[in-house]
Amino acid sequence: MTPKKKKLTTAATTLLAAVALAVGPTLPAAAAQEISGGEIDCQPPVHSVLVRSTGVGHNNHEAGGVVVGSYNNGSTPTTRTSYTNYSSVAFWRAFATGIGSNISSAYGGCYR
Amino acid sequence: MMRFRSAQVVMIAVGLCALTACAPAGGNISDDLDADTRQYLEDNATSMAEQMGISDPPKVDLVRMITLEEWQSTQIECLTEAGYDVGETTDGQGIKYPEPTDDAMASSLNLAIYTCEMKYPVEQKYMAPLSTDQLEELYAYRTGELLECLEDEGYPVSDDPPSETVFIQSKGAWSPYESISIAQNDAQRVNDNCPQTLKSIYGD
Repeated sequence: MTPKKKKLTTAATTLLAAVALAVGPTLPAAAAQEISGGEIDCQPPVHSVLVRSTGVGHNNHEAGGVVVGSYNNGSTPTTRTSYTNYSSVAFWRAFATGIGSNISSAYGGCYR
Repeated sequence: MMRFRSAQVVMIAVGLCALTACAPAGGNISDDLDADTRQYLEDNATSMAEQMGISDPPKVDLVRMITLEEWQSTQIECLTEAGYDVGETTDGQGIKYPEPTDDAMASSLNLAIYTCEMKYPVEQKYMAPLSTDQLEELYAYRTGELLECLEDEGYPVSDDPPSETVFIQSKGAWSPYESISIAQNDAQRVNDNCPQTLKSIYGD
């Protein structure tokens, strides 16, 4: 998938008292090997980047060129969230490796 | 973010050598596998090498097949022995790799990951697509016990789940975890107490 270059606006959405999550666009796909997005710039109070995906098999999360989380979901679609200590990244992606692996949805966003 | 340890290049070189040369005593275990399992392992190796950009993957001797539950700890142990500073992700469910400082180190890390995956592949039954019966069992769990568990842990889910028909048509691509935001320091506790996967689905 071609990386989106558009800067994401991180509007905080307070879901719980302890957590605020600024969400980039959710990018669904029927069954993709990779879902990616462009820049995430997290400002206080949602100051760190996260990557979340739902998929089967080996699902990996990359933020700013670094794999920040790798999971093996087996054949049960599972939602995984990788937290980073980055305040901004130019690029993020969720990608699948290994036979039978795919990503059904993913997004990059911010948390505090 | 974790970084490579000092003297990492030497350690990685030694580790990779140990990884690829570590054939089990008494011959290759893969010789004893049935044709279906051998095909699964070959297909997985090809797919993983392609997706990780490994153009000339080494021959890796199988040490043993593992359960899905063993995957994280086995991979962490294998990669640690190969000289990489790996650990658990914040939620305790995944693996956090070191941050490569250049392309050569990124390639070495990919090769080590590939090698450890080939040494300790997950049994085929955990990777086979879920049947309708399995999806029905998963739907009942996620819309019942799992939602209650998340609420008990302080994370109520306000979004309505899909119908069972939609859930099955999507091959189970819905989890209540998609719509909740868990505090980082709560992630492991909640995931441990409210697992998204039922072990019984795989007959464990």
